[in-house]
Amino acid sequence: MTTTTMMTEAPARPLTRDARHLIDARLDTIDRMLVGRLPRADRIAIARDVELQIHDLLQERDTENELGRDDVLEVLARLDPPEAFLPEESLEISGSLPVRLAAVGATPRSTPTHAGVAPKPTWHAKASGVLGIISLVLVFLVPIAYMLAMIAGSELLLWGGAVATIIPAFITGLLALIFGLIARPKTGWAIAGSITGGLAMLGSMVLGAYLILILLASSR
Amino acid sequence: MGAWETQMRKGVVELAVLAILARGESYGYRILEQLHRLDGLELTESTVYPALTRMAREGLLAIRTQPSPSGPPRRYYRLTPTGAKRLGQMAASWHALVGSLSDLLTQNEGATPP
Repeated sequence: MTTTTMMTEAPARPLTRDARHLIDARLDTIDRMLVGRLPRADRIAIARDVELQIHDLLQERDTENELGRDDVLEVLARLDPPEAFLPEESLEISGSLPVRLAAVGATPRSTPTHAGVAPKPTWHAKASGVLGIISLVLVFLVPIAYMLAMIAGSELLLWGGAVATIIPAFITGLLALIFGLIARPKTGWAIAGSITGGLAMLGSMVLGAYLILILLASSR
Repeated sequence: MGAWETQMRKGVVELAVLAILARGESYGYRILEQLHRLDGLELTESTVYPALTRMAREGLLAIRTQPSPSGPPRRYYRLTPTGAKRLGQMAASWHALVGSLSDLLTQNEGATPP
């Protein structure tokens, strides 16, 4: 049930374009936090309540001048960060209600930006990314070790190099893939880890099969 | 702040907002200011505004919009008959719960610890 009435209020002090952009960016980010979780009408309603609160807080400021970027930043620092609008189960860090900054002008927990807030990578995601990169490097070392062994004419170097690169590449690739799946590929680390880990596993299996074929051929 | 305290506060958002609106219609920021004056609640806009929107969608609150010179139209919320009825039910549950828990805690204070 919604009705509209007219009533006069004191005229608002104007905002600079920068200030307006900052407010819009904050509202857009809050909207993005709620996309897929709430109907569009609810998201608009929440953003409007926040926008009005921002304007009310700006109008309370003791200044005669045009309201600028610094005024808006100080007001935004007093508000909950956009992530606080996520349902609790979506937050990796749980256990507290959004904490408002005590002092005006304190460092905001979240700097308003035009970009959405990326999810924070978990240790699983970071481990996946690091292991994935290591596994891929190990795969690239296989042909180098093979060429060095061929140049040196050393069978020991050939098989030693193969064991020292292919098996660790497969294991680290597998771990990268497992950690990436645990972390769910939502962050850059988990995505990179899952892809590089999978490629490293595939590469190490192909190279391993190739070396086994060489071994079999040479034994005949 | 413990997780249980967080959950408890979140659980009473709806009751607190309905109780404030039982005094008369109000808008988001003013409701928030009134909640801030209550010791121990410490509710912020990220909790209160979604609750207002949800309760409006459920028909517990009605909305009156009014043009504002300082931003988008101001949304005034007020209790609907359904909202008033829900408030009565929630208040009764709350009083029963508080009474029972207070009795339990009082008994514990009087008892000798094992």
